[in-house]
Amino acid sequence: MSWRDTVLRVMRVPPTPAPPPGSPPRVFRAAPNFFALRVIGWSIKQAVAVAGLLFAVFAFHRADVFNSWTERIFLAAEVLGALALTAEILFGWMIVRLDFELRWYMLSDRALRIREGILTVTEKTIVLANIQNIAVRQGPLQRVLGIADVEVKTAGGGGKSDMDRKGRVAEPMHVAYFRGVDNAEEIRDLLREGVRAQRDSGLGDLDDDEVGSGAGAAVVELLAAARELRAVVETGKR
Amino acid sequence: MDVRDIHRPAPALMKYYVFLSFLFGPLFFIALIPYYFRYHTMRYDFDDEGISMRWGILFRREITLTYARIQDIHLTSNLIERWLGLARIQIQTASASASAEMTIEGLHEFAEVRDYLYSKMRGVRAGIAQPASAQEPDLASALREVAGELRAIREALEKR
Repeated sequence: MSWRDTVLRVMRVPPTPAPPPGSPPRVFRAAPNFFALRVIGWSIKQAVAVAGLLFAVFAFHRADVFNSWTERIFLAAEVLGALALTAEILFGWMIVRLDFELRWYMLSDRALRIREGILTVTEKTIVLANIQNIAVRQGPLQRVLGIADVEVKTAGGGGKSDMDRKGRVAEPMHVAYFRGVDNAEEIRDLLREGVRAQRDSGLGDLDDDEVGSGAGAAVVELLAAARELRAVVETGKR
Repeated sequence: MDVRDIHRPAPALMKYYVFLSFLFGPLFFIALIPYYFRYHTMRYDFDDEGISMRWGILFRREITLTYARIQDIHLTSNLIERWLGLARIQIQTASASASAEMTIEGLHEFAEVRDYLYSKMRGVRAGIAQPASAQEPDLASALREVAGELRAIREALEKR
C-alpha cells in the first residue's frame, strides 16, 4: 500500500465530492504547473528553515562559552530541531502533493462546487444564479507558467482585512477560486454562459414559476370559452 | 432521515469543544465553560420557511435565516472534526459580513442537511430560463387559436 492511501485514511480525507445540483458537472483540475508553482514556494520556505537551523548550529559551535551541561542541552535541542525539520519537510511534501491531487472544480448548468484542502477540507458550492461577477487573475509567475485563477464572487461584503474569531485572516466567504487552471478563458466563458442562462439574478426573490404557467392556463381557458361561444352561435343559427 | 427532525447537535460536538478548550493550555477549564453551555443550549429548527438556531445562557443568541435568502453554503471540516465525523455548514446571505451568517456545527448528517438546504434554495429548483413551450401550453399558438375561434364566430354571425 502506498503512503498516499495511509495518509488519506488517517486524515479522513473524504473521497470525490458529490456533484452539485443541476446537470452532470464538468470537472476541471488544477494544471500541473500549479503544482510546480506550489513546489517552488514550498521549497523556498524549506530552504530558509534549513538555512536557519544550519546557522544556529554553526553559531553555537563557534561560541565556546558554555559549560558541558548547557552544551549537552543545546546539542539535544539541535538534534530535536533537525528531526522536527525533517519530519516537517516530509509531511509538508505530502500535503503539497495531495493538495494538488485532491482538488475538484465542478461546474454544472446550475451550480459550481469547489473542493480543496487537506488539513482543512473546504467544499464550496455556489448557485450560478447568485454569481455577481467573474474575474480572471494572473500573477507574473503564473503568467510564465501559463496558469491563472478564476475568481467567482457572490453578493455580500467581507474583504481580506476581515478577521475571523481566532484573529487569523480568513478567506472571505463570498468568493470562490478555480485556482491554477490552464484554461481560465474557457472556464470564464462557460461560467458567463451559465449565468446568462439563469432566469433571475436578483437577491432573495422567491421562485415564482406559477405566474408564467398561470397566464398559459388563462389563455387555454379563454380558448375553451371562445369555442363554446362559437358552438352556441352555430347551433343558434340552425 | 428527515432534516426537520434535527434539533440538537451530536454529542461528538462536545468532544470537539473539549479538544478546542485544550488549545488554551492550563486554562482549559475556563475556556470549557462557555463551550459547555453553548453545546447544552444549542437548538436547531428547520421549518417551511427557514432555519433558526439559538444558544447561550447569559447572553442568548438566536439567528433566523430564510431559505430563499441563502446565497452560498460551504462545508468545512478540519482534521479533528473529521475524526469525530463532523463538519461545519457555513451559510451565507448577501449581508456585508465576511464570516458566515450561520454556522451549523455538530451534525453527522452534514451532507444531507446541505443537500436539503440546496433543494430549498432559490435558483436551484427553477434556475434555468426555459423556452415558454417547455413549461406551459404555448402562449402564442393558443392566442392564435383564440383569434381563429373569434373570427369563426364573426363569420358564423355574419352568415345568419
